[in-house]
Amino acid sequence: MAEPFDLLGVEPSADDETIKKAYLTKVRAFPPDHAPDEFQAIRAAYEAIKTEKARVAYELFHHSSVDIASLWHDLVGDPPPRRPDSTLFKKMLDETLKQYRLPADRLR
Amino acid sequence: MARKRNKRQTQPRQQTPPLPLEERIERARRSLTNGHWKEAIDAYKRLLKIESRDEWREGLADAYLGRAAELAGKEMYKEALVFLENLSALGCRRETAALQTACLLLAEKTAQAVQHYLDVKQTLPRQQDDFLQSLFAARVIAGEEKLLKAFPENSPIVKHYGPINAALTAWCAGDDEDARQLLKTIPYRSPYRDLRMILTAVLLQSSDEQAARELFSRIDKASPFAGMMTVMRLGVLTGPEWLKAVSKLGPAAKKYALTNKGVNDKIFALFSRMQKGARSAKELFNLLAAHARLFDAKTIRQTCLNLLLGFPAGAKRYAKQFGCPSEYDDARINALIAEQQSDWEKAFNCWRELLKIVGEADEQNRLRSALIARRLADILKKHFPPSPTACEQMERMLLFSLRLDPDDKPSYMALLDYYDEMEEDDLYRKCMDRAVKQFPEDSDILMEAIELALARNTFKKAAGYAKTLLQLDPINPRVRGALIRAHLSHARKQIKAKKFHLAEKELNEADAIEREAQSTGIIQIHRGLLAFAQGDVETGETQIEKACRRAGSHLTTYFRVVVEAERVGLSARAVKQYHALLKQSAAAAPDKEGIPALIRAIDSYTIENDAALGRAMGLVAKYLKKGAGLEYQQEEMAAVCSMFEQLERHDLLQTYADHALKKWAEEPLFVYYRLYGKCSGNQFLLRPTEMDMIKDAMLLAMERNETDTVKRIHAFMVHNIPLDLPIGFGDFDDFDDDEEW
Repeated sequence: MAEPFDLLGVEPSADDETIKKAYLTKVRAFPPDHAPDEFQAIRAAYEAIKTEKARVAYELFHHSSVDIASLWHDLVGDPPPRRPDSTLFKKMLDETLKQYRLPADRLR
Repeated sequence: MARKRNKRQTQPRQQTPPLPLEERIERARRSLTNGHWKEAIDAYKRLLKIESRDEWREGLADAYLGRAAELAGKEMYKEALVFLENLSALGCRRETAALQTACLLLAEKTAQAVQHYLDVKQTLPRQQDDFLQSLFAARVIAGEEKLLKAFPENSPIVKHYGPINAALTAWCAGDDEDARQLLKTIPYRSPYRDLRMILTAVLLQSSDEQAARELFSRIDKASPFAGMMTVMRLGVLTGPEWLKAVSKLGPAAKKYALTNKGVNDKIFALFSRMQKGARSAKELFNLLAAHARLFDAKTIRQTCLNLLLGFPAGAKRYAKQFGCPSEYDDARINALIAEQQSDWEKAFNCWRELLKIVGEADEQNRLRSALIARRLADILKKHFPPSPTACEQMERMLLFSLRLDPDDKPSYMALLDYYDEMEEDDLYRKCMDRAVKQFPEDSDILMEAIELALARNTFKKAAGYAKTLLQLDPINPRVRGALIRAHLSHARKQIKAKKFHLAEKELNEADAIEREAQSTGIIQIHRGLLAFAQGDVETGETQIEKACRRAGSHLTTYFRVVVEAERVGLSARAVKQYHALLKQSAAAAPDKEGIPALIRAIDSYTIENDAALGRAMGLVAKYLKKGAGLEYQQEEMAAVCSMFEQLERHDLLQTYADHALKKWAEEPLFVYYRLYGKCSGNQFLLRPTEMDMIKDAMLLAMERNETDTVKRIHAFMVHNIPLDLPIGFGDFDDFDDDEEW
């Protein structure tokens, strides 16, 4: 399982209410009927940290997963996105247009 | 090589005989139909050399157009334009205006593209016009603002450029509200529509991820802005998914993605390397330790510490590079490593060490201590051989944890389980009262409380708990059963006290709860006995007959009648016919249906442990003894033996265990049952060879991790066999906090 805090997008210091809110938002984005695997992972993450006791138990007993996702979460986290300057944005659009594949059949 | 070339040159060319014309025409047509444009072009060209037929020219025109579209779809716009020119030269009319405009623009022949577009705009179907406008719009945004001059001022490409460009600048500068307002001014049918959706989506990403996803998904994959959308939606990805997606991007898009995440090139390169190659904790630890400078010192220290769990040998390098871990971290990591290695003794000692370190200074630490104590109790229960010391320590740990954190149901359940096993009735009752107080609406706790109340003959209390539980869980069959038992017990008390109307009331209440499909006839038996007690033999017999039909077994029903009659204080003479009927039924050969039914009936009394039961058992003992030879599954046999053990029917226990050992030789549980039965539960009567047998059985059970069997044998032998306890099970005085219990 990926780090539950990372999966729900909350800080380890978040309280019950914040975690519940984040969980419900995630469930809305990944409802069980449309995304059962994601929903299951979200549900498991929520169960792992939903109460203070669960969070303390997680802190004490969890074995950090040896995977890139967990390391990414630990070391890079999910910082608020930084905006590019508009020149870089335009350059990027130019680059994607150069790789653009024309839907030629639609134009015949 | 030269010789070969010469040889080839000297060979005369073999001329293939020309195909008949009809076949060449057919081949050309087939190539065209199948979209083999090159072959079709070649075929029609050859045909046109023979004769200039209109149909062949039309065929060639179609092939040119097909080939042009094919090349354009492969980003070969200049080559596509050549075929479009060839088509134009043929003089055949085809709708190529949109394709030609797009190819000119993407081949960077911008001025020609605009001119061509303005020339043909009026002739274009609306969809194609919209597409070309969005293509021009994308080029404008991508830096070709000069294109704007070529379009009329009232063209949407010109009119909407100002607001979209301002919105983009505002978003880049972090002025989200301005960006939102500007985006609102751009109409839905604008050529910048897809960029408007992308910017709206990224503005929503942090507050409403689902809406952002929805907007992204509405952008057509064929849109000129689709590539941009792919990059922008990366913002919601993290870790491996993000790394994988970013590694596929071009330089500008990658730079954008890294900027967006606040990740520098070196971190990106390190993670990409780890993702591609490093998989083990050792590899990851070594790579991260070598690149520790890239990260925040505290974070990398903690991350490497966590990696030690999978790579304990890295502890030395860790200490050298990051310094020694804190006492807390050291004990915690060592405990987890020991658990991973199934070194339970070490794990136990490390958790104990951590418990001392954590202490009880504040609420957070009290909770930590409670959780660690539960972990210790769990290790004692699951991974240590049962011994009085281990059991005592487990109890202390649970009590200690509940003092620090009283709101923990599993701990109450574990403690109740422990007191039950140890037959500590008073402690069990006290613990139960506390548990019910702590969890007044918890079904597990209430169910336990009901069973306890029934065992203690406190029927009103049992009925009260059961009613609460039925309100919470109306279809729970266990509660219904318990509530019925409570009413029946009360009814028996009333019959015995000759308060027949009150007994009737209790039976009515039991009747109201019972579901017919699950009926064992027990209520009808009580009604029958109530009638007998009042001298109404006819009604009594009718009710007992009804009970037989409900239960589907005469033997079981008569057995119950004999037991219950004694419990309600009826003389044997009052129900003598049922004693006779029971003896008669029990004289028949046992069968696979009769034995389990009777056993279930007997088993239903075990929790009430009634003396009347023992006497009724005497009447069916032979029947049961004969039943030992039937074919049982191992679990069935174990269940039967367990029941005889509880009933203290040692003769039957030995008989059944003997039969079991014929089938499952040396099975520890049956060895135990056989010897337990043989010595009637008194271990001092065992011979030395039998002592050896029971020790061997215990060792085998321990080897197989059959905890229940180990516990049974241990409980039986505890005074005789000294058990070797693991080191570290000494004092627990530090945690002796159970005075208030």
